[in-house]
Amino acid sequence: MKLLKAASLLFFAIILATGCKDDDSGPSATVNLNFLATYDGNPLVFQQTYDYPDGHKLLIQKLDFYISNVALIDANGNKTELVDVDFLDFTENTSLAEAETPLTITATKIPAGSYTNLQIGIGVPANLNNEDANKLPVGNPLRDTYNAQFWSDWGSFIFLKSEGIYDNDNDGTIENNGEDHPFGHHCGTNESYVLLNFNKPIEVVANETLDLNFSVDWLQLYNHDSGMHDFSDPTKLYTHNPNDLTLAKQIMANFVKALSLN
Amino acid sequence: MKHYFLLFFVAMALVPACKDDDGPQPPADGVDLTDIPYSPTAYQLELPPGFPSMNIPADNPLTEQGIDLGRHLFFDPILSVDSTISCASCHDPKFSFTDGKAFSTGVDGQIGTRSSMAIINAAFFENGLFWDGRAASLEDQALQPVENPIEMAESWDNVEKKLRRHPLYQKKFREAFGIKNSKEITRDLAAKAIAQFERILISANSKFDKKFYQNDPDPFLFSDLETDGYFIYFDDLSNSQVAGHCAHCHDGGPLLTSDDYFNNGIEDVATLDDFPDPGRGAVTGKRSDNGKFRAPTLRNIALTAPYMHDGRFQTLEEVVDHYNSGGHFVENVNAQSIQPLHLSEYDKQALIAFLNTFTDTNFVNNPLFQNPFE
Ligand code: HEC
Ligand code: HEC
Repeated sequence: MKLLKAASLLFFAIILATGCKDDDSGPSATVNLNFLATYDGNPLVFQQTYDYPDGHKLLIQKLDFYISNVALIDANGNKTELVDVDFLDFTENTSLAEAETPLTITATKIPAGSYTNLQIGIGVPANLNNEDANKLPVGNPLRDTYNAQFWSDWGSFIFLKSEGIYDNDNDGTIENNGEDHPFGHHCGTNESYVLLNFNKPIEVVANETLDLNFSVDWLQLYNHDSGMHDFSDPTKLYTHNPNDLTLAKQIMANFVKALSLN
Repeated sequence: MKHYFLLFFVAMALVPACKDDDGPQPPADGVDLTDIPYSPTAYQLELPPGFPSMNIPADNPLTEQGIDLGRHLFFDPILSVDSTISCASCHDPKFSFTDGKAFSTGVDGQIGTRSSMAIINAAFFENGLFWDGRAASLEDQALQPVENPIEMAESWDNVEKKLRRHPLYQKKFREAFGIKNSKEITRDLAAKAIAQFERILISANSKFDKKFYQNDPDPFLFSDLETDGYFIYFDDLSNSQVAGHCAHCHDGGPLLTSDDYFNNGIEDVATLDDFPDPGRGAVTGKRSDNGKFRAPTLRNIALTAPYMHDGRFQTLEEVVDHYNSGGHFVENVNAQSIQPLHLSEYDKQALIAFLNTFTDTNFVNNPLFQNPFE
């Protein structure tokens, strides 16, 4: 008798457990988040030179960053999470064909409905931004990028890496000759995290796949309120000093101009 | 009949180094092994502080017996065509599992084109193995040296034959993998066992670990010189006048590698097409990857000279002089960190002193990592 009771309890528990899941998954859809990197609106090809607005050439070598807390928000302010955290690395796009192919993150079982906003964070959320991220299960993007992206001395992930060389002597060729300016903007630490909001009606239709097309424009990352970034200024080429995060935070804040959702 | 027994005993006595092609041939339908008990013991893996979780393939869990078998295979020249070369010939524990040479020597004294790599914390490298990342996993890697014509120059078909008729391996494969018959000894099981042994080759007991990951209370654990080297290595410009940029490629917390591919400017080439060894580019087929190699872990770096994929630098002084010079530029060189560093003599010494804190003699002397046949 006791055994039977226990068994039926277990039975109920199972029904409940699976039943709950069923309730949640009403009509749902798949959402693809597609990301393209551009330079002044054109596909960004790495290890290629570009014309910077000040007339000098630039070689762009690296661009990667984390996105996090990506969510759809409805008119009542209810949030539906699409992505908790993921890593986007555009650096392998060394041909036009690669540069024209977006990096895609897919979110499944997103409840159908009308949403009014999309929020997206750039960087790693504070609660995950620590050394223990490497203990997360295999396959977690933070664990899997830890070696390359966690900067031990800061105790932070590098949220954004942008690297290249500026033709400072303006002779039209990029060299590592002491005249030209390699730059490496590595931005991290919790205070440089940014959360962006796109105010835009988004319809998620059951059993369909919705494509949300983002692009991030490299040039806009350097479009400061005070004007375009001055790559000729040797003090503005690196962001390695943890005691001076001004520039790092400025570049991160420029995502509001650089990231667009079409 | 008597002769066969005699031969058998001689073969046993010569284990493991015997060239046992003439040994007793087992019956065509193999040797039944079910009398040998099979009760594998799960290996209790302890991850040191700061280390990431280990990605162990679901079909190859660590067991005491699997590791023991892997260790025997690793040190046994039976894997080579003439029983002269074992994995350990090129990966000797006393050199932190390298061979101390610029280029490794395989069977018949053949010289390879790349320098042997330290097998150290290799379980944690998930972005490809070898200097160019062409092997996806330790299992995959372990299959390659046997048939490499300038390393072991043997065929796996033949190695399987040799292992199947070898009583020691019949027993150990049974204990590790529960095979019922010697015929079930395969290259894949051998590779799995070797991979298991390699996964436990964990180094986490250097002075660097004690200071940063084990909360060693000794305030004088690091000398001033070593501390200054730390600041240079990690570009800590609030404490140092100069940045070495090393950690951009060799960080990864206690792993001391970003586990990524770079051109660190050692080769003077006119264009990306001119590298004598294209490295990563030959694997990905991308021109932009030519001349890139994996930034290896710097653990036990003081024990693994000479340095780089081609062993071109004899000492750490030469390595630091290279980085200090800024190296050679082509467009895939990370000029942000590969640029003239302007290190003084003191700075260079400090950096090298810090590199020396990565030395872990416990690892090198660990009795579990030594030749089981000695
Ligand atoms: C003749 C010398 C030689 C022999 C024998 C040899 N290796 Fe190696 N090993 C090398 C060299 C050289 C490399 C680097 C090769 C490259 O990058 O192309 C290497 C690389 C490796 C790596 C990659 C480490 C890393 O971090 O990527 C592993 C693991 C390894 N060997 C294991 C083995 C095993 C297991 C055996 C025996 C089955 C073995 N080796 C036999 C010379 C040798
Ligand atoms: C841009 C990335 C990068 C930077 C910065 C860098 N390294 Fe390396 N390092 C590499 C790569 C890639 C290799 C392997 C290159 C090869 O073998 O061709 C390497 C190899 C080495 C080796 C030899 C390893 C071995 O097992 O043979 C040592 C030692 C070393 N680096 C130390 C340093 C030090 C010290 C610094 C800072 C002064 C530094 N590295 C900065 C990428 C880098």
